[in-house]
Amino acid sequence: MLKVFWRILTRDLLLAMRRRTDVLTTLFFFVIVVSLFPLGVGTERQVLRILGPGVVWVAALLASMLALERLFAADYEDGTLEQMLLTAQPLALLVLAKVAAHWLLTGLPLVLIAPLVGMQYHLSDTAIGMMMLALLLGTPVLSLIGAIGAALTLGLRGGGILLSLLILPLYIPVLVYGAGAVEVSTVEVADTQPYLMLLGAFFLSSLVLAPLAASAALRISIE
Amino acid sequence: MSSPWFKYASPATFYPLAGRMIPVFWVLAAGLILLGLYWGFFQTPDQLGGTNPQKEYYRIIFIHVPAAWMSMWLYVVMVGWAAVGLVFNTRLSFMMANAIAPTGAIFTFLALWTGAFWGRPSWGTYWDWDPRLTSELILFFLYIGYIALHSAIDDTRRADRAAALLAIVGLVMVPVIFWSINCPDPNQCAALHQRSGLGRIEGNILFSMLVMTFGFLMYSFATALTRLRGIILTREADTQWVQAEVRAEGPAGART
Amino acid sequence: MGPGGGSGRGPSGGADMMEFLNQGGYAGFVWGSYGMALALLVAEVVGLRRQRRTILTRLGRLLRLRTPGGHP
Repeated sequence: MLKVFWRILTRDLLLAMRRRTDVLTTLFFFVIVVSLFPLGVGTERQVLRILGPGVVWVAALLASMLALERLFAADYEDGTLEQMLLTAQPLALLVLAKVAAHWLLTGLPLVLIAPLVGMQYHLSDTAIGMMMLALLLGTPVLSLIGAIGAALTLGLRGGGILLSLLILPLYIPVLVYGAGAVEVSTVEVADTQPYLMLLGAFFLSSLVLAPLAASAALRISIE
Repeated sequence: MSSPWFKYASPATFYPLAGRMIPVFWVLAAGLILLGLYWGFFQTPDQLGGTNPQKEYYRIIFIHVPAAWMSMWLYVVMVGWAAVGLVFNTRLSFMMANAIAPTGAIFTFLALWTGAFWGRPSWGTYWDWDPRLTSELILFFLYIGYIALHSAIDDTRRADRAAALLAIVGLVMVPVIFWSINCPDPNQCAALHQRSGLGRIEGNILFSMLVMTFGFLMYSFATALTRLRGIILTREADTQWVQAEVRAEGPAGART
Repeated sequence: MGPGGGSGRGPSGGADMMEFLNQGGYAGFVWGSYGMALALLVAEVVGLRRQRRTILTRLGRLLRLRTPGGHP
């Protein structure tokens, strides 16, 4: 079973690498959105420090969602997805592999870019570190929950907008605690522990439950 | 697995049953709502004192709270029918879930609107990101998402099942979402904002609120069943019994 | 805490009626809320009736198209 997981993961990564622009556009979207806020809100240090965590997280949500459309779309179009449904392998495992690839391509880069953003928003080093940690825990959850939405809206006209409408409410807990963790870290680092534990809990539970829901959604969308 | 209930799982048998029940619900709804309004306006004090003084505008409560309760209850019922549909593969269950959704959305919107109108005189602002109102807003998005997803999919079967799954996922997420909004700082989450226990509400006010809630419940039954009958007619249009029904009703539904 | 409703019923109905409508100065909020409630509920009911008529008309038309020579 592990072999299958790796195969799908590496396959998706390989396919994505051949179309590098897709991955990069998501990243640049994130950077642009994050850079736009100071232009609109004003560049005063204090204001930016307060806004920073929230803005970064909202941008991360949006960037994650942009990339979600492509999670299943390509395989759906050329019939590969149908084949995946027919194999003896548990569909949830295959979904997990695809989501893992998606996260490596969209979530992880966000984590790595965080210091740059932190600098733009004059965040302290502890805050930046906390932001990276929170993003590391939170972005997989975004990919996992997003997969459910992507599976439900597979092949629909206007799927992207519909996907956002369906998924954004479900992202709220991650947003609240992810941004909260960074905010609290500026005051007292020890206080961030409950936030991180909550994010960890979200990660673990969505790791188990989201692939199951997404595979159910895939079966509904394809059969 | 045969049981008397499964007889009514067929749209053809349920349609006339619903038809007979609907007028009853309308009557009950009208009666209860009128009673609740009368009691709420004429049998309760004009102003409230105590720890949380309120002036006459508190009477908005007789719409706001019942609407909010209904919005939440209807979502649960909707998910219930969606689950039944997914498990037993009964078309009528999905149709019922679809029939409930718009009514639920309307009550959610009403709860938000009256909440804002209550907030303005009492807190000083129309919107305060109060946890309960914010959760109500999220619930509104969940209803809209359900309706949007269902109408975006052409294939009825896929639409029913996809929307059903979405509703179930939504229900699982609602406590998490509510909790995260209510308790954004897990370090100090002990006592949330004043929990107005039902026991501490003045008798007449509580009575009106409950009567209004039941009135809204009867109203929901009536509208959901009416909408359901419309859905049944549309979906089962090719069957004999619907065609007979359409003929019987005459052109443009002379007899409603 | 006896009944203290905004308007008492009785011979001096006029002034009390104004008081009732005024709701202690919060008329806009109270009636704005109840008005929206009424508007929505009425709209839903009316909408449902129209929907039913539309469905029946449409289905009736389809039916008459299928059975040549009109309905029996």
